[in-house]
Amino acid sequence: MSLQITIDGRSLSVEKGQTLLQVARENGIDIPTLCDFPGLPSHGSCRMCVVEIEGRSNTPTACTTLAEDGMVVQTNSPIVQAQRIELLKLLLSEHTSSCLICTEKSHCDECMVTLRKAGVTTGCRSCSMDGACALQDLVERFGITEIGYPVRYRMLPVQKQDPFFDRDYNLCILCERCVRVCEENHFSSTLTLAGRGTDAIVSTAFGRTHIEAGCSFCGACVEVCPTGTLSEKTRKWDGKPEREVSTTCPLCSLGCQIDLLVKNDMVIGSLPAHASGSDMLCVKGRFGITELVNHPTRLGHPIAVNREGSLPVSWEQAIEAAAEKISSCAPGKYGMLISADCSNETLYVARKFVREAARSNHLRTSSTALYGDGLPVLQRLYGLAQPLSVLSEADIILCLGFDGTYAQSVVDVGLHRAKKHGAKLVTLNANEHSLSKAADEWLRPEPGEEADVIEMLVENTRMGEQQNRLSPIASQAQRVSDMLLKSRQAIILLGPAFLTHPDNLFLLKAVERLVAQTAAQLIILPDSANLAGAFRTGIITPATTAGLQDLEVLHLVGETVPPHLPDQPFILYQNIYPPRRDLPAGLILPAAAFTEEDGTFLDHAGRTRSIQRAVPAPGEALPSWQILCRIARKLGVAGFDYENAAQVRAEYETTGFTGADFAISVPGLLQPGLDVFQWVRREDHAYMGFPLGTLVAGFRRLYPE
Amino acid sequence: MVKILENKMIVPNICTITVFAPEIAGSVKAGQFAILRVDEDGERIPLTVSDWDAERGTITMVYVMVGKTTQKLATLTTNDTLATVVGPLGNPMEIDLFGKVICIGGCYGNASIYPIARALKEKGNRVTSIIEGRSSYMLYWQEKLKTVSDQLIVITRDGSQGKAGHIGNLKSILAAGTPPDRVIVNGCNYLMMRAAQETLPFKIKTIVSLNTLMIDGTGMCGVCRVTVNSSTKFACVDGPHFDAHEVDWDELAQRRKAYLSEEVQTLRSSMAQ
Amino acid sequence: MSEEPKPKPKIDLNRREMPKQEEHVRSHNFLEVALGYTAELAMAEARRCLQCKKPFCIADCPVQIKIPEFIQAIADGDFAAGVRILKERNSLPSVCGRVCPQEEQCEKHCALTKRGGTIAVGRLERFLGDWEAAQPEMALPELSSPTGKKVAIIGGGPAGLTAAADLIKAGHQVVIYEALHKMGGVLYYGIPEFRLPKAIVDREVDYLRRLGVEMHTDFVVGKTRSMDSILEEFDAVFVATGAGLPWFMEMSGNNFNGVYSANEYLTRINLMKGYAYPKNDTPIKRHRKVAVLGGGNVAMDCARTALRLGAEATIVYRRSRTELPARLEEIENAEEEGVKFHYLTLPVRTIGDDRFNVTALECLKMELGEPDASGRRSPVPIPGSEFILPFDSVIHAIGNSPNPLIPQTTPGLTIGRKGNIVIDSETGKTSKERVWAGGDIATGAATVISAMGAARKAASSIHEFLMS
Repeated sequence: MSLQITIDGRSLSVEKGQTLLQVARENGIDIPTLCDFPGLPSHGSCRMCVVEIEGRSNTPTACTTLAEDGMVVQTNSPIVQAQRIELLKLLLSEHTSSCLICTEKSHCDECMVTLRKAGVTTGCRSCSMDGACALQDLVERFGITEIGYPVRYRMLPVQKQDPFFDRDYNLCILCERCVRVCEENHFSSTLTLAGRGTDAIVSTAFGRTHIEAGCSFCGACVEVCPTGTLSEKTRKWDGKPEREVSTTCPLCSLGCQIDLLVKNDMVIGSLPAHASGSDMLCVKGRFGITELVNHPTRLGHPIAVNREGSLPVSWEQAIEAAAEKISSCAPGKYGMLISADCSNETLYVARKFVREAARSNHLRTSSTALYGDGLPVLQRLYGLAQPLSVLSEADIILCLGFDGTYAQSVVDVGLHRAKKHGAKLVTLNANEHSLSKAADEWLRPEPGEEADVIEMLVENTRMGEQQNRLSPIASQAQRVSDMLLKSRQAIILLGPAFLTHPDNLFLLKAVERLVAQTAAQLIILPDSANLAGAFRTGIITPATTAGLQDLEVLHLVGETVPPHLPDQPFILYQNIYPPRRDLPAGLILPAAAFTEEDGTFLDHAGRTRSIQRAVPAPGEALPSWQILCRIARKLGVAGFDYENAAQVRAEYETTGFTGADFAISVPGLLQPGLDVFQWVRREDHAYMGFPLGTLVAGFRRLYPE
Repeated sequence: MVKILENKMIVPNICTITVFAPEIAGSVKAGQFAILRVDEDGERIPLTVSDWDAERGTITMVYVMVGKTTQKLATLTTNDTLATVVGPLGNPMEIDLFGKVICIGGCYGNASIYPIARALKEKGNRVTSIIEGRSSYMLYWQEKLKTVSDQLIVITRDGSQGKAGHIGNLKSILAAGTPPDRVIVNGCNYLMMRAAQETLPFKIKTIVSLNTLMIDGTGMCGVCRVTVNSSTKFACVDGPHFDAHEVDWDELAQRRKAYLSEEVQTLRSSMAQ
Repeated sequence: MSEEPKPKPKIDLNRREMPKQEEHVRSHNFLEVALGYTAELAMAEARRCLQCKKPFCIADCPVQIKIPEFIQAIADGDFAAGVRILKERNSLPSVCGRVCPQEEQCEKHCALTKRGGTIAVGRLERFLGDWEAAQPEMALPELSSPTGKKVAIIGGGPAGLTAAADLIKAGHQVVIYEALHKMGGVLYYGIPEFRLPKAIVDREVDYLRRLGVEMHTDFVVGKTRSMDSILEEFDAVFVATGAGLPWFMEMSGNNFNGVYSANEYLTRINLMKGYAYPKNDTPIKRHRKVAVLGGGNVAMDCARTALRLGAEATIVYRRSRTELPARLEEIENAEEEGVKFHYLTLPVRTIGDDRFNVTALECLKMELGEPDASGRRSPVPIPGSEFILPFDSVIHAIGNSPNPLIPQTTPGLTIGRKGNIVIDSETGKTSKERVWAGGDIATGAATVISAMGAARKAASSIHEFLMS
């Protein structure tokens, strides 16, 4: 049913249930707001959007007033304009506002060189939001030149004890966007409004730190803050970005779309790419990337290493030395280890390189080593993998070994949302985890007995009603089985912890049967960004000590140097950071990070996700696939003349792969008790073999040793 | 190792630190500075000695948190120690019976003009102190300054206390009464430069205390070079006090920025901790 | 054990080379370039010494080390005895063995020099110093019984440390006042790690501390406390505050960002450990093309440091290679490592951009004219030969004046034309009673060992005064 209202003299027809603010926006009528934010429910606290309605003595807020038939609304009358200005002045009197009205503010940038580095914000020029602040916009819009009220600075200590962002509530205007986005959109109750009247302040319960209060550091609050109250520690001094580049986060398999914020050819931040359908990020994609790609140790120039030390060399010298080593190396004595954090393009070129340029069949990855015995089953399950979006279809979700406390907190939000829409949540986890409280049932076996519980579920769902309910967990399993049997659409979500569980062969086989039994949809969430790509390219042979013996040349692409190499091979080390242990002899070849190259990944559901070059690589660093091509060309091998990533991709997409191309058959290798390299632990959340905790200061706080 | 007796933020972003340094407390004069180093890996930074107590053996400095070192300094508390406090360095401010003197301070300068005003007052001068800040909550040491000044004038950008405006108001103050015989300005380069512009038409001798980059502070390295009256001076041993009308302000501003990108890089990595 | 009877030794002219780091390796690290003799090499070198009856080497040594005696001790394999002999006259053997210009001193008139087989006195001295440091216990010499007299030494550099050693051994109480936060003066802030590791300076300083020398760092005499106040507490004062006021070439553009005094550049790196920035707080710019003006040892140090920080380093010198005042060894090291040299080039102007950053150096070509008073052929500019070299940094390494702090703040001291404290060259006495001075503060910038020699003379004069 449609209503007729008049706004600023325009007659508009509107849907019932729309607020005046919505109607105005849809019709291009600009009403100023502060506390309003897209995707958040109306709040009405800042009162910037006050309007005049004929026949009413008060001036209600447009964001909380529903349109009624026949309403006549003025959004810009002298009365509301005056009210807005007074309200804004009141806000400014409790904000560090002097720069806003200073007549010499234009001189500041040139003369006051130290301002940007200030420890505590005392004005716009020392504020991280200078130029992007909602208050500044309004002051300009209303032409305010004086504050007119007694000013007050609350002298609250700036909260710096948490990782990733600081909180200076002296700048807060109490719009509560942060509180609302945390509660409404992220199902978290980290933030609340404490105190009354002039003492009101956004806080955690009992004023605890964010870490203590259970914050996942998704950064949504920082993104919605209209002032400089919440500021990213690493971005405080950078000001507004010059441009944004949409790309894919490579720090797990979710494939979240991110907008890289770029200034002076440097990545200064990352935000969820709302336009590409990612409304939120977890701490990795939100706060990990800047420090990761700008790390001071990033490699920029090739280096030759020998027993006496290391020596910078030109690319020509490096490529020639690499080619010479490979060509003089006996057949079968060359081996490559490649990370599944690499793009499809690099994986594909690497595969071709090993076969055609190095004439070897020795291609392994440490990424699959983590999956040990369960790898073949995981590969089979991957054929069933569904994207995260199917969560909305579920009426029961069984989360196996999932914990979204920090990393992958995006999934946590999806699960909460599904629960809100009526789905039952069941978790299976030996430890406290992010869903401990939210789960309808928490199956909590002793560590190591997870597979037994899945077996119970398999048996129960196969047999229907069961009699064996001797242990509490068995009766709990029976309840869950009943739920599964009655469900319309069950979803099984396999978290990283189960995928790399020491017992994963049995776990995954049991999951396979349970999926078959319950016709559940399956979501698999590995930590490696491009595990699906590695599977597709057939790079699945795990790195083992035995497999690395007897090599003359070991080529590492995005992998770290394995410990205890018995035969001291010559190492071609291709990565974005220097090796963590000394190379005995070899070449260090600087590679581009994902922000510096074009390419694609396959996400957890096998969908293609693309990455874009946003900034130049440091020094002379090159995309990994280009380094391989240059060596291959130096070796005189044809077929490595790609001009860009798109050409590689075209060839990759038309090629069929089988793992059997590589002589070692996978199941044969995977005997129980095999000596598998685990130099990257799953909980390290590594990128290119480097645990994020070694690169990003805040991660050391979230994942202490 | 030098013991900290008190270290606290007094107004937003500005802190006072008092340390036990009896040798310095016994010899420091108005207008001199000390160089300190927070820890073994730390850099050397110069801070004006703003107050001292020879009997207790303490000196007090006021600093602004504008970089890694000052922010690291601000995290220390009573009984913590500093790796280095050396001084007093630089020449004392020239103190004589000038007649009427205006002392202008902004930012840390609110404090660093205090001992100067005190010494001038003791000499028998008529002292007017002017302090400038963005807002009333950025002002401090007003009571202390009142005790050593015949008149205290406050200027704030937002008009929340005293006159509304900035150092540009100096013109009207100078024009109003008998012009002073000397003006002394301490604060950021901008304040000092603008004050110099205001006093120039009145031909009033104006002394500024320059805050250049420094390492040793004893004339050894020369990073503190400034051009004064067309010749190069070392702020640490030739200054830090110079005739404001002879200082090359543009050059000074650019030399202050020499390490800006490194300073930001340091902050970026240290603040992420 | 030598055979009896001893056959007359054949003269061995094979001067033993000291192992060095390979040039392409060392130009990228701050580790010491020279690796030092092994015991075998040292003994082989020592056995070559002719043990002259009238040794010229001692005569040319500013501190009169009994050179043939310590060399004999090495030849005999009695390194402990060698150290004892050495330390009678020189308390900083590891330092002097590294930084003395031996070719101008002890080695210059070695009997074997004319025959091209000079004994490597410096390397042997260095060997003994390092050998001793590697021993579990460093032996301390006997100190004379306490005299009850107090001497203050102002400045903890080579002169100050030498005087302190002599005076404490003579039984006086010694207190050193050092302005910086580290003892060692130029040994610490000036000479780079790759030529003189700071651990060695610390070791020699620690040796003096164990002898009982009291040391106050972060203490600026003349500022923290006046000289006259020091004189009230002490019986004598030795001023050794060095040449700490850098010179800049007279030309325009010296205040652009990227222009350094050698002192600033080296201090940022050595004293403040700027090479470890950002781990250490003091920043150093990573320049790409660095010009070093001057041709002395300090210029070589700057150029080689710049190289190690990843820059292309160029020495710009107005005369030719033969006139370079730096030690040949240092010139060769610099050349091997890849430092470029622009000879017969006179910088006339530093050019900068609108952000005040250095972009280039304008130079004039020179030609060598007639020899001047110093015997060096003086360079003459070729008119109209101006040309521009692109650089983003210019380091002035053309020398220093004596540090002005003491001269400016101490009444009663006679000051020379160059800002130096005037002394009696035999005794080191100044015009002020009970005050001696020595080293660069009296002579202007010179070498470490000449400062040490002056310090020994002053110490002996102070001792004489105190005991009279």
